[in-house]
Amino acid sequence: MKPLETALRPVRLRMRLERSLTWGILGMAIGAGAALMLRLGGFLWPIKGLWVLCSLCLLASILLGGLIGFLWPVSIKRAAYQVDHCGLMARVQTALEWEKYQSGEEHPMILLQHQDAQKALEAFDIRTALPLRPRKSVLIIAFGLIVLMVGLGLVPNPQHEVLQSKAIFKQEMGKQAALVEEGAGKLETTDPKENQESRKILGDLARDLRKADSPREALSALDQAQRKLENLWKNDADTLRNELANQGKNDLVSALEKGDAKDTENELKAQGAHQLVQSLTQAAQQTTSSSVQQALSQAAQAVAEGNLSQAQMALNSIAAASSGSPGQAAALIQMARNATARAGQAMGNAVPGSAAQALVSLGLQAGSGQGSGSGVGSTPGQGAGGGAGKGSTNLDAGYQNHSGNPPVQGNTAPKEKVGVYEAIYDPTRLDREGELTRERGDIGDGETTQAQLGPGLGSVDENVPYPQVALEYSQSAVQAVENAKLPTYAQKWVESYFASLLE
Amino acid sequence: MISKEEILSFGDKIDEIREEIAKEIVGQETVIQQLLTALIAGGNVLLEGVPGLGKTRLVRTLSKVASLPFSRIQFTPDLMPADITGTNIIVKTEAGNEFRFQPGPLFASVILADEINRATPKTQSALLEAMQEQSVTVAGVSRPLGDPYFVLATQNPIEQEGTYPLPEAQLDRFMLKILVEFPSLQELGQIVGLTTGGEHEPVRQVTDGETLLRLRQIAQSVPIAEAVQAYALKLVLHTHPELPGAPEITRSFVRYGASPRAAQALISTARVRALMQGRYNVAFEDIDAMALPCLRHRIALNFEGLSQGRTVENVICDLLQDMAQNR
Repeated sequence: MKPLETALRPVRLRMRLERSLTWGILGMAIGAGAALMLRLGGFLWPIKGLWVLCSLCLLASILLGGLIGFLWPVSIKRAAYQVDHCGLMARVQTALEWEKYQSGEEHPMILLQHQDAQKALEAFDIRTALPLRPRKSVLIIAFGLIVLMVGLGLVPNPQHEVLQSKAIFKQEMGKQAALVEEGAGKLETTDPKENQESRKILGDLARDLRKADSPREALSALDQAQRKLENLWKNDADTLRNELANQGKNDLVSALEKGDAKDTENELKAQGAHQLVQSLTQAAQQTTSSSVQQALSQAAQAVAEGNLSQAQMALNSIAAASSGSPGQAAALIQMARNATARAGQAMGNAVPGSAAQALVSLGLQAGSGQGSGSGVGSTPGQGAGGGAGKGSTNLDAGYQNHSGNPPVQGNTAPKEKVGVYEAIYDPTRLDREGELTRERGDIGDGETTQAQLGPGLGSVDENVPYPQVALEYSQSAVQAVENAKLPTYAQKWVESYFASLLE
Repeated sequence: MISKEEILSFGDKIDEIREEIAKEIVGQETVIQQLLTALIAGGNVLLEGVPGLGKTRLVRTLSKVASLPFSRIQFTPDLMPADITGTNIIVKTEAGNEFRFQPGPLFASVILADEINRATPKTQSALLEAMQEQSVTVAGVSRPLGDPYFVLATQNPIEQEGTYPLPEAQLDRFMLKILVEFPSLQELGQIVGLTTGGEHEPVRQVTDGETLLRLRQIAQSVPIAEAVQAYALKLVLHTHPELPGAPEITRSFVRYGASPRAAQALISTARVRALMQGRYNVAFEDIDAMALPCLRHRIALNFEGLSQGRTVENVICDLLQDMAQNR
């Protein structure tokens, strides 16, 4: 007897196809439901690539359902039951059961029954009996969910702005990372080891900037890079100070530690030129650090030529690292910091009350300064604009206008002020004209002050030590604070901030 | 050993018998089919119908076609058991007087017990032994009856006054209970033409007892799938309200359910029906088709069922519907 299993193969395949279709459509319904949930979630949280995720979810569900449905085996018994159910009237099931009772001589009834079953199977029209028809209800539900999901795309999504601002932030970080890498490539110090270390630090910074998803992460990376660079320079600065101290130049060492350029120059003047040259040359010979050696030699040469400011600069290029004076690498970091603050502010504007705005408004980064916030009036204007950058705070602490009365802290919305502080020193504006600053006054009562900024100090290829400009910063800030109508506690913040910078 | 040719000729034989019967009996195809099914399955039949529907004629025709000895017993309240079983009578012989057994009408192959519910229970029980054991015991001596042995009892559904309804035990011995319906207008016209007109073609003897036994043997060899058998058994079990898993309808309207004889009847008759349909296996449809005649006389409704106007047929149909959904 020809086994029925062979005759049932097309039926089993058909049943697997039918099951694959059913489960595929079920998968579509489940996928559509999940995609709809994702879509709804997209209104609450900023999810990148939402449409792609939804489409993938839907597609994966359909494929998974269809695949599992097809791969799940269909037993012979099940196939026999199915064909009998479609009009074969238990022929196949009976034949399959009695197949196992085969012995040498078959009972004619069993033989006839088996033949009858096979004949019926051969005449069985699979396509008509087992149509590949999906369940309408499930299909309707699935399509309904898909339409709903697509329809939600027409609803304005508040998270869209957040995602856009995040994308812009990432783009900006990418640019900054490229600039840092470019700067790292051009970096040249006297000490090859220091050069290599600096490049590595900047390289890591560039990588971290690219990875950063928020201003907090970017600023954290910048802080880390700055700390590493400072540690690197600190070694050289300590070496320089030790060498000078060994030469008995303790006063000079103190002046260098303070970071006061005038003091340093005065100390250099106080020393005898000849003796100074000798001491500097000896210190240069004794030191093992090549960058310190070079700085000391340059200073000795400058003193010998009578150019004390050149000598002061040479010494400060190493010593000032401990006080945070920006070198080439530090300038790159500061530039990146400014850009991060600006990008973070843009993100903060997109999402009021976000961490980005909090970071900016709390003035966590010196030199970011653009504290323009649309916060509620109770937020203090802490946008301390120190350092190299557009150091301006535009945030008022709920300032309320009282005509004829002194300003009081109130709950009104903050007013944006223009140009309270202006950049005194901005590495991106070196060798260029300054900007016009205007300050508002009360109508008929106040005064208008105009200030024209001169070109920035230094040149694009030079580093200007911070102590050289810190005093001017401080003076301008105090002046601006007095002219501006800041509350007393905010004035004190600004004053104490600049005082700490000058220490 | 059954041969393939015999199996293949089964359907033809049945058709031949049917065609011969149709010469005498107009319509009643379902009744004839069920009757033949029971005959081949080796069971007895209870025919219920109003008088004048041709029940007696049908049985007589069947016995002619099958060339089987036929006996008709008209049951009346004064009928005694000895009247149907036979009795010992004294016979004068050359050797002297001796008792000789005079067989009663039960000693035939086809017995028509007309209006069985009119006889006393004592007489009814005399028939019981013949139906079940296919033997008669008179004065302590058991005498076997022939094979095939076929009892067809008739009942009148009206005129129940002064009758002795068959007890459940006796009802259970009937394999099928067949309801004879009133003929349609066309059939009535044909009946009148057949019986009041001129001569008509006489029926032929197309089979005999041995052939019927052979047909029975063939039918008993029809295979049945486990699922189908389980379905038949579950159907019988579901008629019992006290058993776990009984459906709602049984628990609500049935007082007592069918006995294991019902399951035997279902399987046996389903086998015959499958062969009659040209199949060599029992199908779910065969069980469904034989469910009513096999179960209707074996199930009793409770008061709630009766008061709600439910019939046994309704309950069986609902049961079949319920089981078909869970098949």
